Amino acid sequence: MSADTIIIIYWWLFTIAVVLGAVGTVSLRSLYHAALSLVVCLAGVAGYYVLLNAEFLAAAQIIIYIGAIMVLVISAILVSENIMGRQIVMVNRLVWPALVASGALFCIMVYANMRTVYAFNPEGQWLESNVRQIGWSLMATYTLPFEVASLLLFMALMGAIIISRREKPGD
Amino acid sequence: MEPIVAYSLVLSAVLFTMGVLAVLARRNPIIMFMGIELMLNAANLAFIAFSRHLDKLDGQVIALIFMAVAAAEVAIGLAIIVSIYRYRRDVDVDAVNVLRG
Repeated sequence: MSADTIIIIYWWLFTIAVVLGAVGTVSLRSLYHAALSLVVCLAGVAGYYVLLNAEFLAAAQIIIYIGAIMVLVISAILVSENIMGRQIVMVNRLVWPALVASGALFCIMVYANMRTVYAFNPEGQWLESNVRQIGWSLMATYTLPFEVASLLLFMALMGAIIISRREKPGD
Repeated sequence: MEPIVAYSLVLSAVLFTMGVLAVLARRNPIIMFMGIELMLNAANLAFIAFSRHLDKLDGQVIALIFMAVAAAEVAIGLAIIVSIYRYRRDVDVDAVNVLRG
């Protein structure tokens, strides 16, 4: 097989993983199964990042989303385990208006995407491996957003600890 | 425009729609959080597709910063959900309509 055939096979594989994972996240009844289905979807998105020449982002997606965020979500499901075993009503009363609204949103997005003529950058700066370039631009061009993001993450984690701390009587 | 960039944009629209559907139609707050994660991933996928299309790295750097913001958002949101559950033993979003503890 040529390299192009292999790329197209992986492309279909990742597309199927993303679409099935997203549909499972929305529609599965068990909360735990929905979380695992979201893991499949996020892994497919990481594969898409590899196909789009963003290897560093693919590694970050797997480490941050699958390794950290989904573990956090699953442990929150385990802490509130009452909602796992009990049969609850899955959707609220507005499921048909929600379906119509999101379908209309999808049509608008695809239509706008088809109608737009995207700009082309004549002086591309692409290299094969762009991890070094990402490091340079984080440390040179985008230093302030990087620092602000780290400060935001620190503050959010402190706030999460304070919110979810169990209050002892007499504190 | 390369075909993979165009298909990535359509897939990003699919992901965003699924996230909107999860937020609008499900009534479990943890599933709604997963829907927000889906929407953030759709935005990241679009950023990276445009980064490939324009041959510039700015989209990838912004997607990386978005990941940090998403982690912060999930930490805060799950802390709020767990503390609501601990107080009420129930996390139905239609029933949680009183702010006073």
